[in-house]
Amino acid sequence: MFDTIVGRTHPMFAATAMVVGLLAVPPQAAAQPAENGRLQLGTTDTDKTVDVARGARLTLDNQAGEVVVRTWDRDAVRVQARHSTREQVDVSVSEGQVRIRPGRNGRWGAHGSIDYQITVPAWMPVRLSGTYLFATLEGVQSEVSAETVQGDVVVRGGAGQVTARSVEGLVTVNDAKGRIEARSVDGDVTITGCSGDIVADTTDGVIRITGSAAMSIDASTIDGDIVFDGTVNNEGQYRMVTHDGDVYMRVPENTSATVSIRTYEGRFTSSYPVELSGDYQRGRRVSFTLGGGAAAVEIEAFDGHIRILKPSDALPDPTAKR
Amino acid sequence: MTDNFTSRLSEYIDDELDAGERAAVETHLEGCAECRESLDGLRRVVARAGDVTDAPPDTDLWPAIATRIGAAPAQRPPVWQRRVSFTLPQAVAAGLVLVLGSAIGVWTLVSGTAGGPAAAPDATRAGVVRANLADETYDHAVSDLELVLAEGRDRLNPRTYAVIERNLRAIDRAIAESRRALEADPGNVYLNNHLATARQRKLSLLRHATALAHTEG
Repeated sequence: MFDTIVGRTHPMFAATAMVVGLLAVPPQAAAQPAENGRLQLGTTDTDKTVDVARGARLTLDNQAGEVVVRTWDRDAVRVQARHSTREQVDVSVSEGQVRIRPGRNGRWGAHGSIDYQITVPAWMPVRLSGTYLFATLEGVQSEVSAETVQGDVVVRGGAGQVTARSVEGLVTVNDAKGRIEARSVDGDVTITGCSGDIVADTTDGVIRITGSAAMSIDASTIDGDIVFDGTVNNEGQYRMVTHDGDVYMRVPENTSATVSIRTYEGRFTSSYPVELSGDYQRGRRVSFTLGGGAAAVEIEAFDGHIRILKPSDALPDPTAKR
Repeated sequence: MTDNFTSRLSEYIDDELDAGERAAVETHLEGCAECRESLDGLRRVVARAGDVTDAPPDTDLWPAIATRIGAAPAQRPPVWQRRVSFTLPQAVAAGLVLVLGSAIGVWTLVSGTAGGPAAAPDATRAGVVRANLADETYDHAVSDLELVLAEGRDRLNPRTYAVIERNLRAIDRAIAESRRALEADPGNVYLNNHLATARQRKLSLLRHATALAHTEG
């Protein structure tokens, strides 16, 4: 996304460049058969494979388009891209880094959309960024970072620092382990089957954390529900905070946790028999224990309902509610 | 365990008891292992809250931006001259310097690390960030960031700008509701923390949005 600073240009110049670029397209490249057999004007494919040494990292900057990253058992990176004939894909390898970015192709102006399919070794750390980027990463067993403005991010796998961020898109992280950071501004955040430390944040969206065995969770939203459905580690620390939403925490019967709740104008209900340490509401902290009270759980909902559920209870569908 | 004391432990942690009540709880704690254990559990919960919020925003795009623009911030002209006298790179640099300065100032303010009166935490209430309802420094910082964001509006996708505006309004509603509640109950620990967190969130989003506005094209 930083490339655009130097690439910004006057709209009239951009339009002129576009026309000149179109006129300059070689005839053999101007019409390519698409996968469905129909001709697709002005597209071409890039397919490059480069060998990499262990320890190398992958960085991809893509202004717009879809990027799908998968893994294989070769120490090599394959870059397959579909893009306009006016675009180039630049794959460089240096100093332990494979860098993929749009080439300038001798012209000015913002880059067009490029769709990538990239295959990497599972051990390779991957970093993706873009503005209109839709990112999917599957099977990477190393650090992962995917950041976009308009677009969804889906990460399946990842270890160590796993970062998935969007401004206006859905963020999904599955089966990652380590320090997991999933953030959106205007989209839901869904985390499934993860372990380690989880930070989940959005402003106008639902946060769902299911099937995870996290040691710590810090989940926060302003205008959305938080749903936790999983196990609580006896040594764990969990914090879930919303302003104008509900918090649902469904935990197994053998859970051992000291639960602290705070709400100002909301309500509290529990499927487990609990004895509150005082009156709740008006922001007063009250607490209770489940089992031996080992883990620390803190739940805040300014104007929402806090519900502690058993596995036999149905979880509400926050999406339907919204 | 004595229910009467158990129910006071949260207030004890939050220092919401008067001196006599506090002394009574402490006397009880000396002889009640179960209550001490409950207190330890509560303290761990509260400590967790203190660990969570003060990390710098990961939306900090400044280092990369600074690298790209040469990190030589132009001398910032008066606000009233900015729109007519800046070239694009100067505007970017000046805007981001403003963003950075504002954000750092308010960050320290709301995180309770600054020494100013607005940020000074009540020393008797560990972990509590006292929100100041008449907080000119915060308001000025927000105004500066909003100004910079407005100046970069044309460089943001209109849909993105609308989304950011809508989310800022959602945060503003949360701030307003917290303020109203706090005006009725100024000593409420939860409300103080909640308001401070909402303000911090607004600053983070403004900062993120402003950085985006000066990097998108």
